[in-house]
Amino acid sequence: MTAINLLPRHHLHRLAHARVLRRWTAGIMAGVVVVGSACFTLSQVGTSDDQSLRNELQKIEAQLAQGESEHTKTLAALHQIEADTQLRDAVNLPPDYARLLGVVAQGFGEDAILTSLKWDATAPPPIAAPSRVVAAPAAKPTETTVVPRPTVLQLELAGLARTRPVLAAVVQRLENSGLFDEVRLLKSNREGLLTGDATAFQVVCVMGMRPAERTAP
Amino acid sequence: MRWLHAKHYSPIGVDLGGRYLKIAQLTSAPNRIFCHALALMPNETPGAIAAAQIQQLCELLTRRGFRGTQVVIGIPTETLRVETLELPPTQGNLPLHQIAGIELARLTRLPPGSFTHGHWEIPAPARGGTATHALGVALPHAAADQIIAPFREVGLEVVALYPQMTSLAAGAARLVETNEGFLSVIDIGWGGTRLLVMQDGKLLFHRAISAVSLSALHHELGSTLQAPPEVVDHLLRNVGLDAQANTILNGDCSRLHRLLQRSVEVIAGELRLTQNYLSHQYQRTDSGSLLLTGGGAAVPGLAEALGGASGQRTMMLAPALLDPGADAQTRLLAERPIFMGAVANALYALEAQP
Repeated sequence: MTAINLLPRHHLHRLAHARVLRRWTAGIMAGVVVVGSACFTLSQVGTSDDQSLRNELQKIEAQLAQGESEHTKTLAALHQIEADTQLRDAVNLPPDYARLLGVVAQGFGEDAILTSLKWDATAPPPIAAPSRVVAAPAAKPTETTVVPRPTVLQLELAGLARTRPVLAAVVQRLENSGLFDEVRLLKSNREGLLTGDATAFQVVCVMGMRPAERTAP
Repeated sequence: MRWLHAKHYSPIGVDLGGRYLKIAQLTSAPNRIFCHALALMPNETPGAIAAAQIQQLCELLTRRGFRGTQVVIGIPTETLRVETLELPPTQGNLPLHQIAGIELARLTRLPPGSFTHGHWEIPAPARGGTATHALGVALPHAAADQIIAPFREVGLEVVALYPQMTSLAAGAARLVETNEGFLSVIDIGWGGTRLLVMQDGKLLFHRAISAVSLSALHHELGSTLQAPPEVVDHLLRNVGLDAQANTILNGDCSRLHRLLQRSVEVIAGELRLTQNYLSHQYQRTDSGSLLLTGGGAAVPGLAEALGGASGQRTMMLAPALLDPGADAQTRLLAERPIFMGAVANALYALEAQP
């Protein structure tokens, strides 16, 4: 027997509307869920991509920083080598005494006279240097390469200055000459000279010292 | 869309009884339909539900494990207008539904368009000519709205209003297979007794037996035995026509038996009258089977007495005839024929669904 439904037509219409509304709602909800899931998945993928790129960038930055640091060290070493080379060029055997005496003469000026000059060359033991520093041909290809230190040259000057300020100016000029790593006043005392008096002094000028070896002023 | 091999729940079937509101829900699995939940609720408004009670109904549905919000309601025959129709012979694309509507409006004097109607064809009588014979039912919109309104207020969605007699007939035809003669169903309810006669699964005839009803029996027993309603309930439910269970009346069951026997005779008389009429109409002599259902069918000994009085094979029509696969409580309730109307509505809806 066929089912007889006596539900009035307006109720049937309302039911049909409600059914359509439910389906649309369910469809829209399903769509929202699908789109939401897709967005979430994509955002997760995007985040992981960003994260990996960020990690890569950090690695590259770290490598760059390391490279820069090494470059700075290498550059410093190179400058040192250049300075040493210049010094050797300047005073190495056979020493260019004329150039050396020229610097000393400029330092003494008109109000001081040189009475004695003593030249002393000592070779300190070699030190370890980074491998990137140009190695000596005889050195073994190890992680650290032994490079010869430049010879430490010591110039002992003795003289007479008219006054103490003149002596100070002499020491200042010798320091500013750029040739010496250190200029030390060993002693100074007043003594008679001809009809007046003058300040006798003794100064040591050192060349070829490492910064750590320099004494504090 | 039903998922393969998945459980499917029917809409909640409601039978608007005179004393109780009967509620049932079925579950269908592949090749199997069984009761999911059954419930009974006192009803203060026969044939409808009071707005004050609808909240109780919702709580009951939740408490008893009913699922979903879809409801199908069986409309009591007293609320319907039922008429026998003679329609033009079925040929071509005749709008028989519209013609039946016009015919029903004429017979019931209801304004056209003010009611919903349905009809089903019945076999033509032996001398019925070429006309299409049908039974038509009409339900005024006002009555339908009055029934639906309380359910809508609490968010329950009424998806169908079935004539209770057609769903009960369909349920009986579904649960009891018989090919011999007429299949008669006697539904003894609080407000009255209804006789339905079917042939080949189609409802042919219906008749109200107003002289027999549980309320009348209740009233008469109460006044005759000077017993309170609870005692009368107990007598009808547990003693009835059973000669062995007579201790509560100190061995004197004569008045109870007399009253019940009188009801049995009235029903048997109406049944005989109807079957004689139908035999004459359809030229059939076999009396067929008799099914007894409704709250009154549970009176002990009534089915046997009716079977003896009518001379027909009589059996109880109860939800237990379905697959008794539910839990113990539901199985126990399914033995009670009072739930058959609600179960028939749910079954009707379940099988009508695509």
